[in-house]
Formats: sequence, structure tokens, C-alpha cells
Amino acid sequence: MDNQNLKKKFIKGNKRAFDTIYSDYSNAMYSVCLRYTKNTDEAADMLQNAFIKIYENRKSFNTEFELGSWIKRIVINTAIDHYNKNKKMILVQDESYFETEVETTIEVEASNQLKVQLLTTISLLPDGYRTIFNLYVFENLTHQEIATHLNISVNTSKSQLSRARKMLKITLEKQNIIKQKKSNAERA
Amino acid sequence: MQKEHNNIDELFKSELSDFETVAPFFVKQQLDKKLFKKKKFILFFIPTLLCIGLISIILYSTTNTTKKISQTSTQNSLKTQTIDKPNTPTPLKKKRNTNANNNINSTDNSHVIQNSTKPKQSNIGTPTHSTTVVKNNSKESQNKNSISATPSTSSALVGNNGLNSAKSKNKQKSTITPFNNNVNNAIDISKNDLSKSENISKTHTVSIQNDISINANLDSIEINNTKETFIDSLSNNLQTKIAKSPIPTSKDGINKTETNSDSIVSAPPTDSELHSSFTNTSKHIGYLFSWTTGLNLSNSTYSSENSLDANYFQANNTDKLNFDHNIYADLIVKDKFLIGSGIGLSKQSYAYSYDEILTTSFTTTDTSLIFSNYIYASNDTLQEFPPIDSIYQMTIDTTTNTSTSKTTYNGVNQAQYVHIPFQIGYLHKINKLMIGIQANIRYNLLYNASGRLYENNKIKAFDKTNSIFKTSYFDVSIKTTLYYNFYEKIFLHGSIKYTPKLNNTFQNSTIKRELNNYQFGLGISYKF
Repeated sequence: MDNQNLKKKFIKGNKRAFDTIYSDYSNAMYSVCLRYTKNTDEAADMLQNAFIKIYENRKSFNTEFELGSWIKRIVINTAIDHYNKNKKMILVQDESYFETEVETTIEVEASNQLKVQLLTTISLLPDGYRTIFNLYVFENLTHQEIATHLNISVNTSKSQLSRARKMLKITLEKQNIIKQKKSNAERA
Repeated sequence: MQKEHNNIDELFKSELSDFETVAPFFVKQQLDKKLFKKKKFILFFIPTLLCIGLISIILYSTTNTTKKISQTSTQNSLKTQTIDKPNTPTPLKKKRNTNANNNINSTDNSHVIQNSTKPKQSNIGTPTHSTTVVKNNSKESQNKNSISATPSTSSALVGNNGLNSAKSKNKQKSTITPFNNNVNNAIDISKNDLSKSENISKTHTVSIQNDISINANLDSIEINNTKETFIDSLSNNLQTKIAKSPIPTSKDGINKTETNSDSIVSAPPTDSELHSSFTNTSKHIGYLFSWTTGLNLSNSTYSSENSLDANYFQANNTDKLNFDHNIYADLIVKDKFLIGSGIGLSKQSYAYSYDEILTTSFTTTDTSLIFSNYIYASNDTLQEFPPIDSIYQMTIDTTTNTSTSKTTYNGVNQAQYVHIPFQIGYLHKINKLMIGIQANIRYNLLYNASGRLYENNKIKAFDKTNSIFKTSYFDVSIKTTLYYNFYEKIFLHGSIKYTPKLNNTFQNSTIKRELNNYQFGLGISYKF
């Protein structure tokens, strides 16, 4: 089944086409879901909801566009919806916390488990921090866009991101996964 | 080995942006339940319902046709058949079982005496089958009773003489129909001693007084089981009556000229003939229920556009022995031809051994400052004073490193299919043995699947929901079966079935898998 044919059959609701698409994208999308959730069960639920949306909204898909990006967009929207639905408290407009972020080089010990360790570290973040960090770092959204999606102010988005970064650094350093490398100036 | 990242964002982005992990199986199962539940239901039940419907129609139509034929021929034969009783030197009692009920009343008032010049025939009977018994031996025909019925004239003749044997010996017929014994109330047997002379024939007449009562009784005929008993009892009753009548045992009382050519003269069938004539209908359509369990020897062939992939699969996959279970319901036509359907469960499996090779490449960049020049004060054109600063040139040394890790996955890929076969075949009987050749087309529906697939240097786990095995397909096979009748209607059988490779058993994969299959089956059958 070639790509264009696959898209057409998928739009018509063909199960085999849907199965093929699921087979092609489910693993990557599940990994995206894992970044936005605390645990695998929550990620599985998110993935399921995303693919239900994908199937139900298949007729709105334009075959001229890339299927993968359309699917990813739906998955990210599902993650944002998930966050908005489950947030128990409104993020406090905390604009005071802007720690000066010193650009330091990070040394990482390469290992097979590194990816899993990083993923686990993200899952330890509070929901708000995690979502903003993901949207900013992985989806390349601006603070303005994040603020619009999550219904928060731009400054809140910035401060949450800053806190998320700091928390991640501390956690990774405690686990001896990263080390701060001294700059040339400090060496001198 | 250490990597460097400028900041925490870069670290996460570089490590996790291309990260993939296998999604849980149950997600696809739940998706299928929510999105495709109805379609699956239809996919499974429509073929099953079609199959059941087809079998029901065949069974109903064949049963109905048999009944109709039976009743029609019963009514027809009542009007056309005669019972001929030639004079026999041996009493009929000795030839027939005389334990029949005396349901045929002999009433003197209704006796019809036929002239001895008339053919010696008696009419009776309502056969389901018109079995013609032709006897060439006139002596033999004299020793037998022939039974026929002529309700149109409201009279039936029981000839006790061999007068007509000269003309009718080559066209004697016996057509017998079972009807309720109560019909005997409407039949009277007349017997008469016409003459004690050897040249005078004796005629016994069975008079059918009331057609309506006979026809009414026909409705209550037991089609199958009562046929033989009725005929036996009926013929026995007649014989009893005839035997009791004072008929002389003349051997020479043959009137060669006085045979009614309009009458159908029948030689009385023997017990075995009677039996065979009534079991014929039931043997015309038979049924065979069988259960077979077989051992499958499979031989997979893999092909792909990329021959390396195909070779990899061929080398790393080993077919396993599997079992196959089938239940068949077959219709046997004329004891030779077989058509039927059924349901079964089959399994395909093979052992795999895949190596997943993970290659990770990363670059290390070393920057160093190398002295380039001194900077002097602008007014120190002669550079007499020490330099105020130095110029360093940055050099970037980038090294690409590659690390490879290999993981071997061993396991079994398996798929279970529910199948609905349709088969036609031919049966040949040799004493207690029966040899059958069947051609078979099967609809296979995936019931369960599990395993892993190696594709594009990645190992993908699958289950029923994202199986590499096709969710449904047709296959064809030929089968030869040897049946042994070891007890009454029960047969033991052994079969060999060959399913040639026609279909790709994989779906949505760059690899094609075709399956050659030999099945050696054993089972038990019930034929009736």
C-alpha cells in the first residue's frame, strides 16, 4: 500500500489502513505521551484517546500534508487537553522567580540507560513544569503560544520553565548523570 | 564515554527527540473494540450464518423431496399396482414370517370372484419406490407372490395360479408401498375355490372399497421406519389369508392365453428385495459427521523485494509442528458424492531468532586556543614595549565515534485461526473400507496471534490487534481419507491433506510468507 493510497483508504475508514498507520506511528507517539505523563498507564490512555481522535477526525485530514505531522499535532493537542482537564490548581502567577541561568556546558556519561533515565526524570516533574518544558523544548513553541494553549500568562510560562530546568539539573546531578563542566574562564 | 551539551534543553532534545518505545498491546485492542467492534462481529458471523443457512436449506429440501416422492408414489401405486399370487406348491406361510397381525379382514360379502380366465393378480400396496423385479424363470415366479393394487376398479386380484406366467414372466413387477395397517379395514380379500381341477386357476381378490380411507391413512405413514415392518406385515397378512384359503396346489393350471396385458404383473420380492427397496431412499441421501485432529507439517517460504531480508527470514525462522482440529457435517448423495461444511481451529507457528543491532554514533568536539600573535600598543609602532595582549586562534577538533550493541531475541510467533471449510468429494466403498477424495476451500479468520517481527532493523512486538498474520484469508486443499467401519455406523478414519502455497500469510509487511502444508489427521465419523 503506497503512502497516498494509504491516506485515501484511511480517510475512507479502512481498518487495514488504520492498522498500518497505528503500526507505523504508535511507538513514536507513545514515547511522546510518556514525556507528558507521570506513568505508563496514563501514557497508554493518552495514546488511546489520541488515536480515537485521529480516527474520528480522519475526514479533516488533507492528503497533501504529511500524515506524521498531523498525527503528532493531534497527540500534542491531546496532551494539552489532558493537562487542562486534570490540573487541580491554577498556576500561580509567579513572575518573581527568574533565576539567572548561567550557560554552563553539561557533561553526560553515555550509557544505554540514558534515555530512560532522562524520561524518568521528566516524569518526576510537576504536571505544569513538565508540560511547559515539553512544549518549549520538544515542540518548539514560544512562551506566547504556550501561554495561549495553557491559558496562563507568558511570565508564568517563563518562570515554570526556569524552575523545571533547575529541577531537572538538580535531579540529574544527584543521580550522577550529568556534571557541570567548568568554563575556560573558571579554569583560568 | 562522555558527551557535552551546552544546556539542559539540548541534552533532552538530542537524547529524547528520536526516542521510541513499544506501545502496549492493550491500547490497540481497546481501540479495535471501540472503533471496529461491529465490523468484526459481522466479519465473523456472516460466513457462519451463511454456512448454517446453506446446510439447513440442503437438509430441508432433501428431506421434503423424499417425503413428497414417497407420498406421491404411494398414491400412484395404489392405482396401478397389483398383487399377483400364482399358485404355489409350497404354502406361503413357509416363505414368509407369519407373525403379522390379522389386520386384513376377509369379508365374504365383499368378495369378488374373478373368472379363472382373468389374469391371476391381486392389487394392493402403496410403494414408496417402484422396484421392478423381473423373473425369467417361470417356475420361480410360480413360487412367489406378486402384489399389486388396482383401486380404480375397486378390486384387487390375488392370483394363486401360474396361469399368466407364460406371458408375464418377463415383466413381473412388484411395487410396494407402506401404509398404515388400519387400511386393512378397507381391504377385503376374497377367496374362492373356482375349481379343483388342475386346469382351473384360483383367483383371490383384494377389494379396495374405499380409496378415501386409504388416502387418509397414507398421511399417517411413517416414512422411514415403518416401511419394512408394514410391508412385511402386509404381505404376511395376505399370505396368511391366501394360505388359509382352500387353493389347490395345481402346477399345471396355467392359462397361457388369459393374461390381462393392462395389469402390471409382479413377482413378489424376497425379504432382501423388500428390504433393499425400502432402504434405497434413505441410502440415496446420507449424512456423515466427522471429527478430525491432524498434525500439520508446514514449510514456509519467504520472499521480499530485498533478497537479503528474505534470506534472513528463511535462515532464522523454523516452522513448528502444529495441530489442526475440524468438525465436518457432510451430505452423501447416492452413497458416492459428498458435500459439506464445518468448523475448525488451526494454528501456525514458527520459532524465530532475531538479532537487533543498535548502532549509536556521537561526535565529540574539542576546542583549543592556539597562540597566534601579540597585540602591541597602538603608539608602540616599533614594538619596543611588551605586548599589551595576545591573539589566540580557536581550533575545533571533531571526532565521530560509533558504538554497536547487539541484542538477540528468541521466541515463537504464532497465530490461531478459526476456519470454515466447504468441501466436495467422492467416496468409494470396499467392504468395510471407504476411500474418500475431497477438495476443500476454507475461510480462515484470525482468532489469536502473538510474537515479534524483525523489520527495518527493528524488532516489533505484535499481538492479534497489530498482527503480522493476515486477519482473514482463503485457502484451498485436497484431501484423501480412508474410513474403516469398525462398529455399525461408526468409522475410524485417517486422512492426508495437502494445502499448497497460494497466499501470502503476512499482511502489511515487506516480507511475504507462503505456506505449504501437509496434514496427517485421525478421527472418528458417524455415517447414517
